[in-house]
Amino acid sequence: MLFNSIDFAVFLPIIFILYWFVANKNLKVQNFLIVAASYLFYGWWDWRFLSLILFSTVVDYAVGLRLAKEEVLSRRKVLLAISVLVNLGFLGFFKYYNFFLDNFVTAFTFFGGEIKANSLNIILPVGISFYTFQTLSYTIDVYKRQLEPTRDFVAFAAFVSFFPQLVAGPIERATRLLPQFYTHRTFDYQNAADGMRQVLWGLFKKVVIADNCAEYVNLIFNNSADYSGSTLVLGALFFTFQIYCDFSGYSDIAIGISRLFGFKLMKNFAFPYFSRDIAEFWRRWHISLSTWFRDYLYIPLGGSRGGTSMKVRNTFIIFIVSGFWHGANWTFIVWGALNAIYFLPLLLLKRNRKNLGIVAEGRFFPDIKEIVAMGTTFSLTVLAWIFFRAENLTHAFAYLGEIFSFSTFAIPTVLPMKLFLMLSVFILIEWLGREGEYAIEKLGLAWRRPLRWGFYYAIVMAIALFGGNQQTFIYFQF
Amino acid sequence: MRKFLRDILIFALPLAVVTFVYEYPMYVLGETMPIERVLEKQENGSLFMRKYLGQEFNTYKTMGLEKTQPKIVVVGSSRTMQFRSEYFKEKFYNAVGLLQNHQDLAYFLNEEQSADFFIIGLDSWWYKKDNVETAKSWLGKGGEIVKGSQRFNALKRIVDVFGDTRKTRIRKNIGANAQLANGGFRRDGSMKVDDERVNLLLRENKFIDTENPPISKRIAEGLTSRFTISEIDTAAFQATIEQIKQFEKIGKKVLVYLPPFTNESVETFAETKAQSAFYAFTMEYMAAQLATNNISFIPVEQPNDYKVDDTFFMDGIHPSEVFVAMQLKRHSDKFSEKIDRNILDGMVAERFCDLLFDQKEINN
Repeated sequence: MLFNSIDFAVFLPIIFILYWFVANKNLKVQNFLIVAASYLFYGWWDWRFLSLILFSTVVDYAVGLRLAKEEVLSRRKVLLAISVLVNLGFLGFFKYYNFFLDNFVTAFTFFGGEIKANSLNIILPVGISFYTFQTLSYTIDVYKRQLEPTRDFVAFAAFVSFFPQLVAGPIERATRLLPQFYTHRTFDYQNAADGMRQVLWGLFKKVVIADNCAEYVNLIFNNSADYSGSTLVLGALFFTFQIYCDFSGYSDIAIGISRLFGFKLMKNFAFPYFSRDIAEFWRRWHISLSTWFRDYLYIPLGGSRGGTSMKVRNTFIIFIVSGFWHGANWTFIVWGALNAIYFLPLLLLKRNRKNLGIVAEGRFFPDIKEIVAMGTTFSLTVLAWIFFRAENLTHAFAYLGEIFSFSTFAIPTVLPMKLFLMLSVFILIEWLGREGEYAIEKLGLAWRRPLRWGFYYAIVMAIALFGGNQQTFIYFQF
Repeated sequence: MRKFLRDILIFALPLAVVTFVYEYPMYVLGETMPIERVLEKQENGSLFMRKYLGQEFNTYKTMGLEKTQPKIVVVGSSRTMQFRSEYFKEKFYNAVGLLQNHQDLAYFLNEEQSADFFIIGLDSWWYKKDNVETAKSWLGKGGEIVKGSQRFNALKRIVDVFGDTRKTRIRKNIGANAQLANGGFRRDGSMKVDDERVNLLLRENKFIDTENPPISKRIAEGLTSRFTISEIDTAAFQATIEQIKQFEKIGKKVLVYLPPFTNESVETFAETKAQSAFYAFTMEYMAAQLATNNISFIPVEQPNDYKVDDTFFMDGIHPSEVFVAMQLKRHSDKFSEKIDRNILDGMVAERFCDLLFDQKEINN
């Protein structure tokens, strides 16, 4: 079920009413309702893959309980390995089987061998990378004795399958989200109203900005050989906004809906395109995944301790794995490696924690230095996104080759003025709201109700009148 | 909680009213029906043709093709839209509309196709050097059904449908055009001609080109991109021939259909020197190249070839389903295993009129 669909517009109010009016007396019933709603939400796409979620849930729940009783380290390691193997096994099979097979065959053929292998026609279960990482965080935290295992299966099932963030995050930690299923939830007007605002802004980002950008991105990337470098620059720029608005829009909707049900999810995006260096960008982009990799991969590997070679190795590992997490294609791996190359100088010069605050905090205009820093970071990001969007490496290099040719000085043949206008308004609102949790969190709160509601109606009308063709969320495929 | 719900309701009420006024008329007319539902509903024989929002050709025909799983497929421009399943012995689908130029055709022939017999309509203007259509350039069109701004524009025009009480709507059809004019796509993807066009023929009993401007005028004066004077891109046509040959090599059977013109159009071609050259390209060069390469084809024909007049045409370039049946019958030796000549004979002999076989399809 898509957030921007009629199905969901019917589904959500029904669950909301049942949750607060029918199941509100009993926490267990509320949790059970969340599980049922979440399975319905997921099964709407393909009910067969519910078995994967259920299996992961049962395995990790059982492993958690055993870990609590087990004191022998070797046995604890075996239990952890079971959970990791089951979860990453599913992920590996559904997401990476064909990739490894194809590359194995290519490598074998390259060295003169002859081998025939049949790729499998595998459907990638929506959101598998998200819920796999979420449930893994539970087992690892229990293993590290940072979390008491739960004995409440329904609460655990609700934690794994919580529908607002099931298919595209934020990837919640068990230490943070699971306890919220144990505590009684009371309805809070301000919190719910704020959630609705966040949902509205998320929908605007997805439907108005991302979906409109998508049309031009598809046109330009799918026919890149026909366009000049200047048009390809526009294509990359549009994709930069498409992917941000698509994914952060989804996160806003997920966080907003969770607030309607009395849950608080972690912030996933913090205006990353206003970053002044790549390190800041990665603290602001897909925060739940970056911190997951930091805590469960980078730090166990030694993090930034140790010598230079260790730092370089760990940085490359985390960025390449992050790229690979996005998809089984060399383009994602190169995208990750490129970001590691961007990041390394900052790390080695110990400047990676230079920009921790908000750019131009308390001011409307940034200074020249900030503008240059933001512009440089943004340009590097745009360049990297080309690899992310390209069909394969050949396509990406051909695309880049055209961008770095004289044709970049030609007048672009695709000039969607309406989209430029929408993007300008969007960037302005994001800039004005960059000190909040999301752009319109505080915007207009001090206005009188008619004016404030007029602003919200304007956003609703923009969604209705200027929305692009409905597209699935990009991050569903990851 | 109650305050929250109350505020939500107050906020949503004006939106609900606007949405109702905005969406209801289009829903009733079938203008906003999703294609999946359209295909399901067509099982009962209803026609599909929208008037105010796009047809979603690509989605409609692609899904129709998948749903039908035909053995015989016809592709090409609107000039081949009159091919019907009734002509053939095996399961058939008219996928016309999917291809709009020779680049699209190349793409289609490269894709895996499950059918084994393909009738490919080739328009001569696909091979003009100034042809502006490029591969899939039409794909971006047709998103009107989900675009609020397009719906808003549609709403402004839709008022006349409900305001005009003289017109009876055929409610089982889907889309304003199908409901009002009783014309549109049948379940097999073929196009049923509007009642208005049929009634005009029955009333006047002569050919009237209702296109504006009429096709003959477009030819004579070089109007619209199809009839502007241009060089012919023979290399592109050779490429098409090569693609068809490759396609046949993988076991697919192809019949190229060079769509016919009315007698009136052919006469007009002859009157202009430059247009005459263009017509000669269609008539002679394309046919000769197809013959040289042993590709089965139905040449460009005109009603005179069948000793009939232009009443078998909807306009100067679109033949009726009856004329197409007559052509298939004449050329049936090229694909005799796919059709039954006797059935075609019967259909043509017992036709309701020169544009339509079945009287039941007319709303009297």
